[in-house]
Amino acid sequence: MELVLADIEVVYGKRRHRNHAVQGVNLRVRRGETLAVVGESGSGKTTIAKVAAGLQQATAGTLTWQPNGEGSSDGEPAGRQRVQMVFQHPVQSLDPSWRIRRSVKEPLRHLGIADDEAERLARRLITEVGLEAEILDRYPREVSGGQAQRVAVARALVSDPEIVILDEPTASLDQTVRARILSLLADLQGRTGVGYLMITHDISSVRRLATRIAVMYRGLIVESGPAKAVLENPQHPYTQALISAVPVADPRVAWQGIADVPRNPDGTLAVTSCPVTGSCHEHGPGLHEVGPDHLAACTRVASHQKAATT
Amino acid sequence: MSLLTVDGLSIQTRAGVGLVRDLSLDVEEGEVVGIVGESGSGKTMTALSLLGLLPDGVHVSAGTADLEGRRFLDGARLLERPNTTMIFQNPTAALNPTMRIGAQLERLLRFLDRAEGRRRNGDRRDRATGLLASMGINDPETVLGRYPHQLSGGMNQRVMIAMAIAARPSLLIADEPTTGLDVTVQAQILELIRSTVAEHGIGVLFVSHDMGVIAQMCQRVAVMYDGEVREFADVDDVFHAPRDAYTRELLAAAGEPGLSEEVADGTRAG
Repeated sequence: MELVLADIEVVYGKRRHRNHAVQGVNLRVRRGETLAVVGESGSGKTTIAKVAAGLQQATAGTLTWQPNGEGSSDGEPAGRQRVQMVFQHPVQSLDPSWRIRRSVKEPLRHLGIADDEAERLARRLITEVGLEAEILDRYPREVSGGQAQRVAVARALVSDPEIVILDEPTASLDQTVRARILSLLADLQGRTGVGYLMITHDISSVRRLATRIAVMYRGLIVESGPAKAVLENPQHPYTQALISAVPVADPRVAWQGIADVPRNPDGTLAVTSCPVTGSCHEHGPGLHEVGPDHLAACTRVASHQKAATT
Repeated sequence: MSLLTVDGLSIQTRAGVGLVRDLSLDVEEGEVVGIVGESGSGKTMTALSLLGLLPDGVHVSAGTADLEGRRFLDGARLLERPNTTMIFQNPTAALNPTMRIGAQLERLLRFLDRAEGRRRNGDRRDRATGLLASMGINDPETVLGRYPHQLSGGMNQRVMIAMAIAARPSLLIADEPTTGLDVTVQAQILELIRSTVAEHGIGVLFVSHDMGVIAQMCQRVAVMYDGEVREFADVDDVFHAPRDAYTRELLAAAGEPGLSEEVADGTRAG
């Protein structure tokens, strides 16, 4: 199965205060794969996560389930049951007045699963995420951030969903804990075949998990493709800026960072490394193929392509 | 002579639980020295202890600290305020939420003037404007009129750095100054810290859990684990010839840029 977001548009506010959070976004999340949506605050990535999770209605566009491979256009409408979510702040995402047992079993209760079966599944998942079953008796305040995130992963997977949405799953964790959570997620994906939609601002954190990457900038997807192609051969200047913004963990590599440029009114980075900057958002060059399955929305790329074909 | 010398520093809770044990490090003039470790390793407690800012119930139990050859910390006693300022992880929370940025900056400048026996009144607004402009803020006048909650985290951190620099410290302590910021904002703030301390010749004690930030910002780094310094050496040695098992774990977690096999061909079995 794959979750298909087609021509998603989300507009906040009314009339003069209309604000396009997301415009014409097309994405597919397949089982067994990880799609990483990368962008800064204000890029629209969290809105995409909410729409995919059914937590927010899109202003326009469709959200459907389609059988893997090629789909007929009339996939069934997406319901919430097959999608689960892991949030950025693990401790806050658990009810502080509930024991962990109750939080982990909650999705099963909604599916009408008998309590003894739910207990068995909860114990199994807690072990699978590398925790001891005794943690089920504790309250969220009695566990560490890393443990709470493992609990959140167990809760997300206990109902055997098709897709799990990971919203900045490691942003509030230390690097060592972060690495362990990422390898846990990869391991669980290998075993269960679950698909991940991972939302993050840190493009380096997706290296270990992502199959595909979509880069969002000011409500648009400006580049998408296989993770390796996007990371090693980024075509859009914004993708290039995101990659060079990450400090290289090697003192022998001279890290330039990014220029201290002014920011757009919405707080996102102004792309100044591009000679034709500014014109993009007016005429919208659209996504063009720049490699196998690799798309970029860049005027320069588009004109290169035209030159090559004529 | 080192700018900052910390020798045998130990920090305990009232109940006698050791949070930091026998920590020694030094910072040369104009040098950026990192402290890296995970939550609970004692890196922030070390930073706070140097300014006498330890939370209630936590105190220095042993050790000394000297700044520019003057002893300012001797065991539990803070002998004097060192000429040191600090920037924090959450700049929006570190600023006064009830005062406009301009008022906070002017109050700081008045305080600093008074400490130096100067009585200048008229030009503080201009100096505040100049300070913000030197932090790469384009329209300082607008920012001066705003409250912290009206500004982004990155902008507030620029204001914090401006305030920290205004006091003309010989040492700046930076406690995870870019944690929680977007990577693009982080990159710009790091560059600002780097250029500012270089320009003013300020020594920096830079606390972080991010090995990438440490590698790019620091000349030397102390790796802390469970209250102890496991390794204190040049960043090049720590990253390329780590002697401690925990350092190697940190490096593995930071994940060398090499792609994992799963990503290598853009597909994955499943």
